[in-house]
Amino acid sequence: MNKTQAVNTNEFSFWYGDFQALKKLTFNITANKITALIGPSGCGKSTFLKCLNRINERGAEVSHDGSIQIFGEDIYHPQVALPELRKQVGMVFQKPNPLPLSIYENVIFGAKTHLPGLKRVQLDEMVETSLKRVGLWKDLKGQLDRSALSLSLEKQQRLCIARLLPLKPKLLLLDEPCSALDPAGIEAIEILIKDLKKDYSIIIVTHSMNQAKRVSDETIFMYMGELVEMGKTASLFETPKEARTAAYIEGRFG
Amino acid sequence: MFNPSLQLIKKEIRQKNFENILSTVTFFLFLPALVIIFMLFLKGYPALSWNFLTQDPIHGMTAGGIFPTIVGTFWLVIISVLVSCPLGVTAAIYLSEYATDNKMNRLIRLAILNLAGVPSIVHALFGLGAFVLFLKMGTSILAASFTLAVMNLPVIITSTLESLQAVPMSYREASWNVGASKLQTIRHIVLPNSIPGILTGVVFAVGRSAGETAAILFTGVAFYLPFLPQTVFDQCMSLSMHLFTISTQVVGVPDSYPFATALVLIMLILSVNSIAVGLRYYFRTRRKW
Repeated sequence: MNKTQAVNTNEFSFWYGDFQALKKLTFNITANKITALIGPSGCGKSTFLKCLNRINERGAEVSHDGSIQIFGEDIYHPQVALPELRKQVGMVFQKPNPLPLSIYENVIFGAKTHLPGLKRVQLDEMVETSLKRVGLWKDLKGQLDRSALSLSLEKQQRLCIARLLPLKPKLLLLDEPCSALDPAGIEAIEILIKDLKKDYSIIIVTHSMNQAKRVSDETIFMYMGELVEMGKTASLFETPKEARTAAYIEGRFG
Repeated sequence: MFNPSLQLIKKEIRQKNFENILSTVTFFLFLPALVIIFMLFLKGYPALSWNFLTQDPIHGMTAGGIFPTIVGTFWLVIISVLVSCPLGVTAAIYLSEYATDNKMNRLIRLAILNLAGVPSIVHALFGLGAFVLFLKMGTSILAASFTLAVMNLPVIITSTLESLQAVPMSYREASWNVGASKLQTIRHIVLPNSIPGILTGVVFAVGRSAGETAAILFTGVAFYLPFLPQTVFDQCMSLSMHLFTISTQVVGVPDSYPFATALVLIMLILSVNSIAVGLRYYFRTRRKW
């Protein structure tokens, strides 16, 4: 394993009860790049994403086989503490889900749960840096006490990204982050995502092949829980090696 | 072209009729409450006075006031809530936030539902056996309050469970996703958002226990006591029991006395319930979202 790889999966399979959602996935995801996961509904792309911070383990009977390493560390090792894993591998959901708190409280919520006793000055600075990073500071600096739920969907989604940043995550997981947004919102979030890859490794699940083409460096095509093809985005879309990939990106199924 | 067809007119008449039936039935449900309070006020009016509320019953309960019964009712209600509230809320948090769907937990839920269906006289017998005799509390305020608490548990658990589950899953996910533990999520996200519902449930339970008679019958309530309870190990009188006593067991009580006692009891319960409504309103307006 070398430092430029964010994720290594090795023969990784995953089951919800008896249903095998992922089948022997083996691939590497490069650090500081944007990797798009595409495939028809139910192909396992969201499941894979949720395995990366193990957020899918509540309430469901799940089991796995094989391994996933994030920056060289096995995330299914028995000593892995889930709160720590989730702190470093943050997820942005399909539907913006700000907490029912003020904008300010939303940004510092994660930091406060991990580092109790932060001073007001440090928190203020945290809020300012994070909101600046996602482009919300100029609009919202005067109204940080407003409820986060009163923001537009696009701003809510930016806020959901912003609240991960004080935790200094290594990997950002975006689960169809734009599917609830209008075209202007989509464009704005895509610009933000591309800007964020300087500092973070990003995996994005998307239904839109155009979005995958626009934002990602590498693309993984999954089908029925299996990896079909992986490659540089440009070459995967121009000269797919697999027939199924070609069929999917031409819109013949899925 | 846009004139209603015969069929449409018929449909609208049926629609109107249905609406009228619903509103009439609803009105008749509302009527008894009004009539009861009105009748109680009418018939109890001659007995109502400041002295009625603040004096002891005298002459074998055929004169005087009902002060000790009000005091007793307060003792019972407050102690039973102090017992059932922490227990019930804790159990509901476990069931909502921690319990997985297995046989044991399904059995627990079933037991709670069944507990809600147990008649109060059976609770009284249980209280007699468990608290008065087995735990040697004697017939006392404590034993009666515990019995009331057991009776109220399913109400509090169910209402708390409902308000916990009304908090959207996405809030919890968002909180876990930044690495908050389950406990932190419950403390900072789930509970603050469900407090109004929980409080409402608790206060309604208070109202219910204030009026309960059978459950405290053998466990801690006296027919007549010449003194006020000093500790929780004393017996006490209660409004509901007193109402039963002077209505059926004592000869020579003025006609207005039972009605006035009932009115005081109902007013007490109504005011407790309006506190619940007020609390809910207060929290709703204070919320930022």
